[in-house]
Amino acid sequence: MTEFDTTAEDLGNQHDESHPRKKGVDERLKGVLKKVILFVSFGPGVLGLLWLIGKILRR
Amino acid sequence: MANWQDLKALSGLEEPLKRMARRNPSYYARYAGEDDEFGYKLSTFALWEPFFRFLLEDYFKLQLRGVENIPSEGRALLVGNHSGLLPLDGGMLSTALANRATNPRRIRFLVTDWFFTVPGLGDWIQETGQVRATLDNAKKLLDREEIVGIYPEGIRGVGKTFPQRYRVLDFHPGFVQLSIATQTPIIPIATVGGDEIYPNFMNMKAMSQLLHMPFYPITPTFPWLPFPLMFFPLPVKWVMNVHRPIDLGYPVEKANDRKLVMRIAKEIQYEIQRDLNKLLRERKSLFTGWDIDDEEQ
Repeated sequence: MTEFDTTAEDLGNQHDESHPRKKGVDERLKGVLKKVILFVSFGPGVLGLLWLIGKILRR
Repeated sequence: MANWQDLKALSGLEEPLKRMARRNPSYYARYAGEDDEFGYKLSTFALWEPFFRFLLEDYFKLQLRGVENIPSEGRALLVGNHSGLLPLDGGMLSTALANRATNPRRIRFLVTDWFFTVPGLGDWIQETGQVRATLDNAKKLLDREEIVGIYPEGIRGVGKTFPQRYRVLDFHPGFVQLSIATQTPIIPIATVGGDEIYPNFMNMKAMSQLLHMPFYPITPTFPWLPFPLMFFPLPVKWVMNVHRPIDLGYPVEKANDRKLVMRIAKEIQYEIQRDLNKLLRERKSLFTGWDIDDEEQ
């Protein structure tokens, strides 16, 4: 009967699963950052955004 | 200067095609009712033409020298230095040729693929006469005796920073190959003015990589001011100098002679650079441009 080191396999599996998840989160964060930068750059602009934030905070 | 009719056109009170038929009958007669394979629509051109004409005549006050060098019939390859962050130089040249030539014609500029990835922009580019930049498309257009416009610096040309202005980058030699293969004359054009309408302090490489843009510039207005103020250009005076057509005279087989093609591309690049240097030396100032005496020459 062959003995399998299940711990090592499990650890390996865990590592394999968490890596793509982390990658997915990174990708999603990158996507959000990209959309924010695109929106600010081609929408209100940096100064327009600061003005908007200022207006909201003063309320 | 803009008159009441122009204002009416810009405000959309007058039907664009009717206006074009009245203002520019020869251009209208040439292209009306045509079914273009590449998607050119006279109605879209007629809709936007007053805006570009306003920039041309009243804002940049563009001088077009040597317009008689552009043939009124037959094929030609227009080759020039690229400028401005938004490639307004192509729009200015198309509008100038449609309005100032005795026999007005359209120019089919070859546009890089990236512009077609911007939502909404691809259709507009095609409908106003531009074509995706491929060798096949260029050959088809020349076969139909059209004028094809190429900026051999490519998109690098429009992303130049302010200290690099009017330094012509190495030309991609494809236009020479195309010229020899299709036996088409090359007409070099030097443009001064476009490189200063959006002074570009720096290109942020990390941002351009993140956004998949060719470059992410920092100018006095971008990305600071809200849309559309961020695209507001400086009222710099422009001049476009159209050179005499160059008939290369080589047989078609020579189109594959890489050494020859590279040498001719370099020669044309240097010719444009020399002309730019001359025009810049003659210029009195950024906003007043050249003397009236120079204009008359």
